[in-house]
Amino acid sequence: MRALPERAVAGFTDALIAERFPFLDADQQVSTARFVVGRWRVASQPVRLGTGAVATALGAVAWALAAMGGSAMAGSERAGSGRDAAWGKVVHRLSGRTLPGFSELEQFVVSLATAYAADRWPEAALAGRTLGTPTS
Amino acid sequence: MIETDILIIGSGPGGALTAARLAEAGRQVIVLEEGDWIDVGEHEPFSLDQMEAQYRNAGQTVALGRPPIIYTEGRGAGGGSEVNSGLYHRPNPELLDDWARRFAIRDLSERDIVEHAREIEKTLSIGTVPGAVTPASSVIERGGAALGWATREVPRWMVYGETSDAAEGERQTMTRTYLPRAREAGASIMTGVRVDRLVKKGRRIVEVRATKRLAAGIAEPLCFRPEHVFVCAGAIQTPALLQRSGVRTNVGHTLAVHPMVKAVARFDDAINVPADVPVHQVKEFAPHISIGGSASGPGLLGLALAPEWARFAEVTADWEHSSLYYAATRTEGHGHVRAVPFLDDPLVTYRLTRGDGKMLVHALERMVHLLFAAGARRVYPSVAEAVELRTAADLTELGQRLKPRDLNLMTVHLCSSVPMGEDRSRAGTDSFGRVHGFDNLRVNDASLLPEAPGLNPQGTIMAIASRNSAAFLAGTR
Repeated sequence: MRALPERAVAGFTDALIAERFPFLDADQQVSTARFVVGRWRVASQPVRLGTGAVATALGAVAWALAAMGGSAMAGSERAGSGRDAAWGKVVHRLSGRTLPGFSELEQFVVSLATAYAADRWPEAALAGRTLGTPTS
Repeated sequence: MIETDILIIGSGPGGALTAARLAEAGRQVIVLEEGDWIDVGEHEPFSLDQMEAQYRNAGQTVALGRPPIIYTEGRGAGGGSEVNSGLYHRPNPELLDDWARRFAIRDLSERDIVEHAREIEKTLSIGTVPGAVTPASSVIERGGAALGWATREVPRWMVYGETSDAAEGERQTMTRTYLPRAREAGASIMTGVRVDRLVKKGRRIVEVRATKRLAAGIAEPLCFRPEHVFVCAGAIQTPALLQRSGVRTNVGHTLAVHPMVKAVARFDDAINVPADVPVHQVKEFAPHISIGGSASGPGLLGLALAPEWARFAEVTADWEHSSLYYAATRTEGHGHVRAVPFLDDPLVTYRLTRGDGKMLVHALERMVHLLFAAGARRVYPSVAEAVELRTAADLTELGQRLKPRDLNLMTVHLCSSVPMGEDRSRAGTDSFGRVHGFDNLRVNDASLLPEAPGLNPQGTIMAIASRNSAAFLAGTR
C-alpha cells in the first residue's frame, strides 16, 4: 500500500500526463507516469515533502469532487474512474497557471516526463502533431 | 567498534586522492562511501540510467530560490569524477594569489601547488584529443573565431584508443586511478556505508557512527574510533554532516555555484554525439562567464525545451542535428546548506543578486550570438516559456522582456560551503582544511574553495587536497 503523498503524486501525474502529453499512446503514458513517480520516490526529502504536500492537498480536492459526483461511494471500478475524472478536472483547471506550490509540482512532473518521453520516443511529439493531435 | 588511524568519509576526487596519499605514506586508512562501486562503462554516460544509479537522489535535487537552481551530485565510489565531463583546468595562479590575499590562506601560491598539479595530471592522463574533436565542439571554436572571441580546447582526464577519436576516449575516474592506488597501498574502501554523525569530545572527534546498507530495507549500525577524520563528502554533504554533528561555525553558509543557463542549437549538419561532451570553451569573458557544451541525448534536449517540447517537436525527432550549450557565471550571491532534524537530506537554498540575474541574461545573449555565428539555424534558450530564435536579432526582443526568474538554471559545480582560511570570523577550517576548534577533524574537498573559481573546479579541488594531505603528513609524522 503506497503512502498518501505518493498516491496523490501518482494521481496528479497520471492526469497531468494525459493533459499535457496527449500524443503519447496509453502504454507510453503509463510508462512515463511510472518513471516520474519512481524518480519522485528517490528525490531529495525537501523536494518530496514540498511536492507531496501540494499533491495531497490537490488530491483532497479531487476526492471531494469525486464524492460529490457520487462515484467515490460506489466502491467499485466506477469509484476509480470517478477519481481519475476528478483528477482530470483539477489538473485541467489549474494546468499552466502560475500558482505557488502548484507551479513547482507541475514543473517537476512535466520536466521529468519530457526527459523520459523524449529519451525513449524522440519522435513522439512530432508524430502527434502530424496526426493532428493537439499538442498543448 | 572499528579502530583506525585515518577515516575518510567520501570517495570522490578529494577523498580518493587523500586516501591514496595517506595510504602510500604508510598510514592505516579506511574510506567510507555511501553509494556503490560501479565500474566505468556499466551505464551509458549521461543517460537516464546513469542518473538513477550514480547521482544522488537520481539527480532530483534543487537549491530553492528565485529562480531555483537544479544541482546534481555524484553518488558512489569516485563521486562526481564518475559522471562529470572530465574537463581539467590546472589551478589558476592569479586566482590562487587572490584567494591567499583576500581569504588569509597560507601557502597557496602557484609554487605551493604546481608539483601536486603535475602529479595529478600524470595520474589522470590529462591531455587534449589527439584526433578530431566532436562536431558539437567545433561549433564553439567556429563561433568564437567568427566573433573574434578567445576559445580553447580544455584537456580532459582521458585515455584515447588507437582511433584517437574524441568519442572513443576512456575517462580516468577515481575508480580507475586513485582508489585502486589507495587499495594497493592497504586502504580499506567500504561502500554502502552512510555516516550518520561524528561524536565530539572537547577538541576531538572520538567516534563516528554510521549505517551499513546490507540489502533493501536492511541495515546495520557501525561505529568507528579514528585517530583522524577527513570529511570529503562534497560541498553539500560535508557541511550537512558537520552540522548534524554539532559543528556549525562557518559551516554551510557560503555555498557557491556556477549557475548555468542552457540553449539548444539546431544545425544543418549532424553534430550530436550523445555519449560525449564538447571540449571547447569560450574564454573571452573568463572568469565571469564561461561558454561550453553539454551532454545532448534526446532526453536532455527535450528537458531543455520543457514545457514546450511539443511545440518544438522536430528538435528531438531530428536530434542528430541539435546539441545543448551552456553559459556559466560566477555569482555575488551565495547559498545555504542546512541539516534539518529528522531528515536525511539537507535543505539547500541559493540567493542570486540582481547583478547575478543580469549577468546570466547577458551570458545567455553572448551564447546565442556565438551559436548563430557558428551557423545555427535555430536556437531555443531554456527559459520558462521556450521560444524559437531564427536570428541573433530575435534575441534583442527576447532579451528586453526576459527576467532572471524566467531562466531554467542548473549547476554541476558546487563549492565553498566550509571555506578555508585563517580568518576565523568567516573560515570554517584553517589554511589546510583542519576544522577550526578541532585537532583531528579535517575537510578535504570542494567545500574548502573560498569561492567558485569560474572554471571546471575538479583540478583545483584535487591539487588543494593533495597539498593538504602533504601538510598533514608533514605535521603529524
